[in-house]
Amino acid sequence: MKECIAMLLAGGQGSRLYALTQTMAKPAVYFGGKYRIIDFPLSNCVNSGVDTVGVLTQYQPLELNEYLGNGQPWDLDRLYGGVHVLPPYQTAKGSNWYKGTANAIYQNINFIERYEPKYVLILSGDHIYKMNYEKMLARHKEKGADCTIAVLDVPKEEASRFGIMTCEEGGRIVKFSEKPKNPDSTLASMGIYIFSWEKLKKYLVEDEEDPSSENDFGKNIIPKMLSRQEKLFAYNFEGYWKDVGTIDSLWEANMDLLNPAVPFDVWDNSWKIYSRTRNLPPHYVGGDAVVENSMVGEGCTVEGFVDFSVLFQSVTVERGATVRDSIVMPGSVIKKGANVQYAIIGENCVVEEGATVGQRPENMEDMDKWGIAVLGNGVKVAREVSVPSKAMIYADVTEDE
Amino acid sequence: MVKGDKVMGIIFPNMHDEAISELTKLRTMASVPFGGRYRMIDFTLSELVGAGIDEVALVVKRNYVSLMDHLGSGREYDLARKRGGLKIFPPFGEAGTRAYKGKIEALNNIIGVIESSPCDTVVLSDSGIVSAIDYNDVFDQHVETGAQITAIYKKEVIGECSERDNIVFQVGEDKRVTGVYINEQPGVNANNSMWAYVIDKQWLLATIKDCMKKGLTNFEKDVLQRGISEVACYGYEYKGYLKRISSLKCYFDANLDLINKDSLKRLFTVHPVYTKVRDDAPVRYAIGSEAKNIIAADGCSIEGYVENSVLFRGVKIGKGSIVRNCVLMQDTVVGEGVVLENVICDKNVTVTDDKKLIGDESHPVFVGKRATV
Repeated sequence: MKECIAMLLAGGQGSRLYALTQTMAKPAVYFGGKYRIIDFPLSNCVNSGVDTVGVLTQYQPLELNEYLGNGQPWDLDRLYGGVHVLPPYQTAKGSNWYKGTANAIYQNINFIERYEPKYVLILSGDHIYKMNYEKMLARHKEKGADCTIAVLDVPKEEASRFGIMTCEEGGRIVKFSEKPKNPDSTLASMGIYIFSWEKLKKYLVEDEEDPSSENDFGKNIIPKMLSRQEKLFAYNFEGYWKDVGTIDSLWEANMDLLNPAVPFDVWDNSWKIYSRTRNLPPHYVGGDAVVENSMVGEGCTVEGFVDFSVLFQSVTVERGATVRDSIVMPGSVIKKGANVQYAIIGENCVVEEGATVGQRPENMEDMDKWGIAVLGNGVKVAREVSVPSKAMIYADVTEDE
Repeated sequence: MVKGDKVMGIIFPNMHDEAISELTKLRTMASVPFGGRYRMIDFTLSELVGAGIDEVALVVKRNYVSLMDHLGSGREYDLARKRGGLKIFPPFGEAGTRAYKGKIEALNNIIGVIESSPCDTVVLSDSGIVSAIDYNDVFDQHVETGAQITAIYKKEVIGECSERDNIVFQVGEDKRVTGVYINEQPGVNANNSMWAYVIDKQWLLATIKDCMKKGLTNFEKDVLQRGISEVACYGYEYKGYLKRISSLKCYFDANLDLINKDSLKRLFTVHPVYTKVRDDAPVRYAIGSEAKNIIAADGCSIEGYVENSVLFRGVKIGKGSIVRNCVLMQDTVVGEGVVLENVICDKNVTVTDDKKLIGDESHPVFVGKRATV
């Protein structure tokens, strides 16, 4: 048996990342120069001693399945335990897509019970953070809790964007309000839960029988547990945490890695972030290149100007090209004289000579039209063509457009 | 050999250890770090794996701890297999025996392994050369000529880096090797051996047994040179990227030669080059850093000025430091206000603040493993 196993919700479409999630689920989206979003919760699991992880997939799972493989890059290829991809499946009674987060766990009760866990850790695949779940579990045990929810103290003005926990002294949760207009607390749920398994199982079964339920943790399970005075505790997390579900937040979180003032360090060897690596040579910076305040992955060829940017593996920035305040995903080529600013360039894109993608905010007359420009995977932008600020492109842009 | 035959690779990691004694004091030639994130063995293993070979034996002699640590189970090379895969053979220690002399004795030590392998053909390779041989092309020629041995060579002028341990083949129009010369003089344009052979297994087994009876141990001298007229030996001319690591200076120059798009393309696009994964973050260039003409592997952090240098994984260069023409191996930490020019730092070297180390292009300064300057 295992004391604690993790269930990672990775089925989300990530519709707000649109062009980037056309062919892959959100947790497979690239982040931080060599990683994918799912590397963060998976590495946290391994670094916290959680060696059994069920990954619940539903939307566009191919890329994610292939990426996870047998789990070896995360040291999760285990004889007993390890990483398991859990897609929805058919049964004798029929088949069901995962209806909600709670239903996804409900449909995998058999998987969980094979490990006879005392505790189940519920994670989501769209957050960037480093967290020791072992400490959270210790707290859960110490309090004799039925459920422990990790919370982050957010600025008061942002509280209405989150699920807010109101706690009494000692951390016991007395009230949960989803995106409240007038929040009476600033403790926001991070979507990370530890449940005592017997208790959770009971609620999952009950929730499944309720036809009016949306089968969602935040909307159904947690409120129900609270209404019955179960012991729910908040676990205060101090550190960097970012939901990267939107283009702006994905861009910001990448840029945070470049900011020495942000307390989030992927270079820290004591809490490594593991990923499936490609076999690529060291990156090359040419004699005329200028690279400043940036992150550059392996296999890149940089001969142009790169500032405040994150270049993933095998990106080429040709002579005279400019990449500023941008994220360029693996294999993309920024050709001579092209100009990429405040943009996210997807995988294997080509920005031809003299083309422009994105705009600097200070050059905009109408700030409402300003935003990060996004090229979806494999997009080609023809010579001298200009992709405006805030555009979201997922088909090639030719010279006529 | 016929097309599609199974092939086994046999590598000798300790051959040519003496060439760069500075770097092989604690390791084999095969485990000498090279090119930012690799070790010499990675190039040889990747050549074999690139040609679909899935059984490789390493016959080691001494100092092989770092090599074993680097290779692990062979998983990173796709060589962790139930059948075949990567096997490391230390000297077989019977009472009163010594570590083997010469390739023949070394092969005799693992003769049972070669016999029981399902392969029909064997590739023998030393360590000490950086190349990207496409073995499938060599096999094609091996089949075409009906050779018992195909010896791989590079046409080059014997010079500073190619002089040491050179073996030169006289090759006829039909590619047949008709003469073998050992230690050719500098300045001669020659078919210089790359110490790699494709050999018919049955012929090799018979030859090993025969040599052991006669007390012959040296493959090149006793078998190739003396018996060249009795064996169907053909030469394969390799035209790709090649660097011989035959002195510290050659090592230095070969590393710096990779700071070049053309070199990178020729060495790394024939097949993927595998190595141990370390899970480092991408390189971080800080505000105020400056980099010109470098190659850098993951995990580096650059705050100072660096030019014309090779930075291995996890190298840190502090504020206000100037690094020029240097090869800094894994986890070298350069403090603030340091000046390094023409320096090779072995792994885990620390250069403290405001130090100045300047070598000459022809004589780079070498700082040993784990030293603090």
